[in-house]
Amino acid sequence: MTIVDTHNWLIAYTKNKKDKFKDNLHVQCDEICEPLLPYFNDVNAYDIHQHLLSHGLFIPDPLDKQIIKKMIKDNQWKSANKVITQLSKLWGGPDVPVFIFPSDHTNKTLRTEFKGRSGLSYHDKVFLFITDTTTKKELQALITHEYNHVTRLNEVNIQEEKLNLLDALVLEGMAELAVKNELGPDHLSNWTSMYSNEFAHKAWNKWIKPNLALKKTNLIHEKIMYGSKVIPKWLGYNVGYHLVSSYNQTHQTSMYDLIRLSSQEILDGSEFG
Amino acid sequence: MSRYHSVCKRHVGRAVKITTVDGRVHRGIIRNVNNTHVFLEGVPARNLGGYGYGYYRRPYGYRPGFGWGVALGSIATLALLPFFWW
Repeated sequence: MTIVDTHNWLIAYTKNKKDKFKDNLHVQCDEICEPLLPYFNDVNAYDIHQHLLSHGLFIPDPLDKQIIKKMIKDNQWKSANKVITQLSKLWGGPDVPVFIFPSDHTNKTLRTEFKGRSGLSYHDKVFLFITDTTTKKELQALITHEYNHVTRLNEVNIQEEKLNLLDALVLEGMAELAVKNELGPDHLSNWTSMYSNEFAHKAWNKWIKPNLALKKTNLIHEKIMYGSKVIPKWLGYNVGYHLVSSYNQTHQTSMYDLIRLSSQEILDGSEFG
Repeated sequence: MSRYHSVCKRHVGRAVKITTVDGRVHRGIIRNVNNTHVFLEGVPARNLGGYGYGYYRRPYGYRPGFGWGVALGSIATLALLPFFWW
């Protein structure tokens, strides 16, 4: 697997850091997002920077040097490589570049709900945001979730712009089912157990079923996945987990095969279909 | 004084895209202009998609209220952004 040597980018960032926060945001953009330009089409480093920040990339602060140093000392890159190579064999997943960066340790939600971990996956690359205290198991859970997305995105082979809310529910639910299979229920994300199956069914009828065909660019898609003033937090994620779990309970499909089923097949074979 | 001084003054409050001579692109709302710098406040960037772990917060530029300065002398191009861009 191609684990990109982002530790060198991070070292360059720490070496070029200035005294002011605002300057450091630019240093971060230059050292971390400029080198990412070849991995994206038709975007600038600012767009990449903003996008990664919104998904949990660290924000420059006085502690980041120390965190980066510890992450390098613990060689989190090597641990990641081992996990992802195993999963690639197990699921027949592709070789994609993997970028590891510190997460935003100042963010309370990220700290308490996700143990300081976040990630972002595309069909052709994956970002992992972790801390210097991320354990091997916690790293494995994060990678299992994210790399499950990568593999499925390649197998369904539909452009992201064409994927809809149902696809997102299935992607997220399946990724956590993979975590449960690989690491056991203790390593599941908090959002998997946030609402009961009964509540998930009510929410399905009220908010989700009428919107299954919504594309990702629609703001309601985002609100259903993450929550809003009226929609419960992480509703789409939670319902996705109930949906894929219910399919799996009656079908006992291997993860290798599950990854290759269409979202509609999984829905039709679940209690929600 | 840079010719961009008056241009920026005229467009305080507007969203602009500035390219500097080093090739950097700055997108933001003009908040202030002095003799040497134009100060921008961030505007939401483009959503680059992808599927995450559950954590997400909507981007509002570099945090709401956060602005940064661009030296007037370093500006290569300046374009006003239409509303639908941000």
